[in-house]
Amino acid sequence: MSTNLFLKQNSIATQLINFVFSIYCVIAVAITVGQIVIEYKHTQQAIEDELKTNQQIFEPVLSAGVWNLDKEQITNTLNGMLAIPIVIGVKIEQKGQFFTGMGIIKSNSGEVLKFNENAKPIAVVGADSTNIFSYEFPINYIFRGKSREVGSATIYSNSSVIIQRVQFGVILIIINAIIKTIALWCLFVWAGNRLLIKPLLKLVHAIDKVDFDELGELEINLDNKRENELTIIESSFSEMLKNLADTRIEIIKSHLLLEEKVKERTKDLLESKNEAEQANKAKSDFLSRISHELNTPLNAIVGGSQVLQCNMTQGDSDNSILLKHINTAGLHLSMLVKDIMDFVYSNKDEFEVNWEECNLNDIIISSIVMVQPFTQAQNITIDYEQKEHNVYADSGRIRQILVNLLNNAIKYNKKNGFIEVYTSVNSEGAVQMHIKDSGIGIDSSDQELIFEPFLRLDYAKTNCIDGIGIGLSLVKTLVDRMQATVSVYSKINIGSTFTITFKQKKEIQH
Amino acid sequence: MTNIRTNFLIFSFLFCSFCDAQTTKNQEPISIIVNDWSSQIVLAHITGNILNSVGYKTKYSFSTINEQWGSLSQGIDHVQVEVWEGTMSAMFERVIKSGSVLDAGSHEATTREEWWYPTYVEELCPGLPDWRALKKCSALFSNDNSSIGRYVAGPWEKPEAARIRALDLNFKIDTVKKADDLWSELKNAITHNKAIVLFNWSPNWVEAVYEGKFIEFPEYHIDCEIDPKWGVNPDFHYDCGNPKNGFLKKAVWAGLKEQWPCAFDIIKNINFNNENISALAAVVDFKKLSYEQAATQWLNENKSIWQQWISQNCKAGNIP
Repeated sequence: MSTNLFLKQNSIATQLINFVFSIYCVIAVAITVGQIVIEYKHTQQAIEDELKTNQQIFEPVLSAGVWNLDKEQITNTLNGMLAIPIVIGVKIEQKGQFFTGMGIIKSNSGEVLKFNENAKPIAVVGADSTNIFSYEFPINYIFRGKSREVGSATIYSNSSVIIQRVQFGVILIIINAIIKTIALWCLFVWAGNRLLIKPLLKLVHAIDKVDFDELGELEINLDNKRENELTIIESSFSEMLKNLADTRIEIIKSHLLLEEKVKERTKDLLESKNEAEQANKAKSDFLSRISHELNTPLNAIVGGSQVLQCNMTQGDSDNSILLKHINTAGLHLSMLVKDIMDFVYSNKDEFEVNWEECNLNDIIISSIVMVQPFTQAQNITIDYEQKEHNVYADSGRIRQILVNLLNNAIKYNKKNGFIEVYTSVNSEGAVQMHIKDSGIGIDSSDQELIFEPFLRLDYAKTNCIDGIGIGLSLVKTLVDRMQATVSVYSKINIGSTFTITFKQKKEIQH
Repeated sequence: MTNIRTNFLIFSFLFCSFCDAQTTKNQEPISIIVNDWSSQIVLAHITGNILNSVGYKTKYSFSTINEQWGSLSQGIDHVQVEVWEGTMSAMFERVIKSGSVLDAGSHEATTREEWWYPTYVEELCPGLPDWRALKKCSALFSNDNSSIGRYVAGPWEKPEAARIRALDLNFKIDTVKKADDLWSELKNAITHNKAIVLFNWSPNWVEAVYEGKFIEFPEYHIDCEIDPKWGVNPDFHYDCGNPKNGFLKKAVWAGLKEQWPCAFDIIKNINFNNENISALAAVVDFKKLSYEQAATQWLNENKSIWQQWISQNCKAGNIP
């Protein structure tokens, strides 16, 4: 189907015309039916009037016949009455009893009977009874100057008589209605086409042909001589297109300008990124090198100080204390260097996890032993209820994580505080390791930030707690590498609980 | 005592109500039809007087012979004492068949209605009373010196024109307005010894006063009226005369038997012969007595006859 045909068949104007015309047709049919009914009723009334007229014509003759019980005379009269086209039957009654009849009549019991021209019954007609209507009049005979009712006559007619009479009128009514309907339809179509369909089609075509690249050249001409809604739409649409064209030019200009700016910004960002990456790399290289460079002399210092301590006598108590300080400081520095190296290494792409079945109990015990010197110094107790849980991870990294967390728990704990380490299995079957302390706690606003590298909380700074701010960051990185998760629950002045949740072996993605 | 009186009053009331009903029923007058010929009127009065004698009230109601059947059927009139076969048989049989009128028996008299002429006309027109003689001497009966004879008809509807046509008679019909005009015409013709043929019937006073004969047309047969092929002319009906020896009956309204049973019995018993009827008609038409006088005269002179018509149960004072 072509667009034009589709638009013509489905356009609002066509729908409007169809709708209005359909309603008109319904009303026209109703009016025509009404006219036919009125015509029918009018004709029926006219026929009934004609039947009444027959009373005046035939009553004198009938009355003489009925008076004398002269069936021959009555029969002749009835034959004359039946010659009238509207009369289909006549019945004569005397004192309420059937006397004689002719044609199609109705008995007192409602039965439809047929009599021949000699007034002899010939058939019982049951089906036509509903179409029959009648007019009854008394038969009066004037005897000795006094009118006496000697019987009654009933003249019958039926709807076929009416139909015969009205059929011409009905045909005229129907033809009239059809002609009017056709004329009105043509008028509707012509007017609709001229006033609505054509202008609307032009408008639709114009809208359909709108080329956003050539808006300036678009022009709609509906050829409407009179000002109406369509001409307003036409002018408004043209105005809108003009404005659209102007706006489009502005947008194109803005777009070009924006593209230039984006290009510049992208270039700047790339440069900044490269610089940042280079700086980061330089930083990592520097940290790696400096750690490595620091580690060698530190090993010598720690090792040397330990040897010297072993060789000290009781008289050298002053030197012994000095050596102990050197050894402790060396160990601390060594640990710092180790943390830096681990942090740098863990962020490198070549970091690898040594996957294995790890006995958490062994790792926890060994970790607790490692931090015992620090707990004793602060009189902090570590509680651990041993449980046998295995996880699939890197045992060395787990220990490194646990030591870091235990160190933090010690550093930020109160004197005579406690640390509780325990393991569990959650509802999904994952093994969890918990490190709970009775420390100062972490503010809820800081809980999001504590895993950021080199970040130190105000409390640590003001209370001169040593550290460079990479412990928790390292923990987070290692945990991530092992596809585990770390979470923290903390309340100020009550303490914190760090929980490591390990994935089951089947869930690990290599 | 009070109870007895109360019971008496209730009994009297009930009994008298019944009496009233009976009285009212019988006090209604019996309507006797009178027509326009003398014998019928006199017979009607004789009947009325007899009924009066046993206690019935009567009245006389004039009716034409055409209308009387409707009034008898409807119960407006109740008695017709002369039903002539020649003029009334068809309608009489019709109403009898309908059940609204009863046949109350026949008189001994037989009737005939036909063309009639005084005997002296036979000398003027030889061949009479045979109808064919009329063909030859139609001019004799003319009253305008033409060849077309004149037939004087009564005021009653008869198929005379059909008969003239069927028998090819060269006659015209001159209808009089009343029966008396017939006798004026007859008297005038006799006075001048002129030929005349007129409608007459028997029994009638004329036969008691004037000598004459009926024309003998072809014998009547019912097919003559319904089958044109029957008779001397195969093309027309009525190529025959009227019936001879026709009956003379009495007719009553069907309800009379129940309402006035004695009256019905009496009417059934009433019986006149030709001689009686002719004489009664002559008393009126010739001797010029009134109908009532003629009736009274006959009743006085024939008590033994009419009292036999009243059964013992219906004597005066016994009528129910």
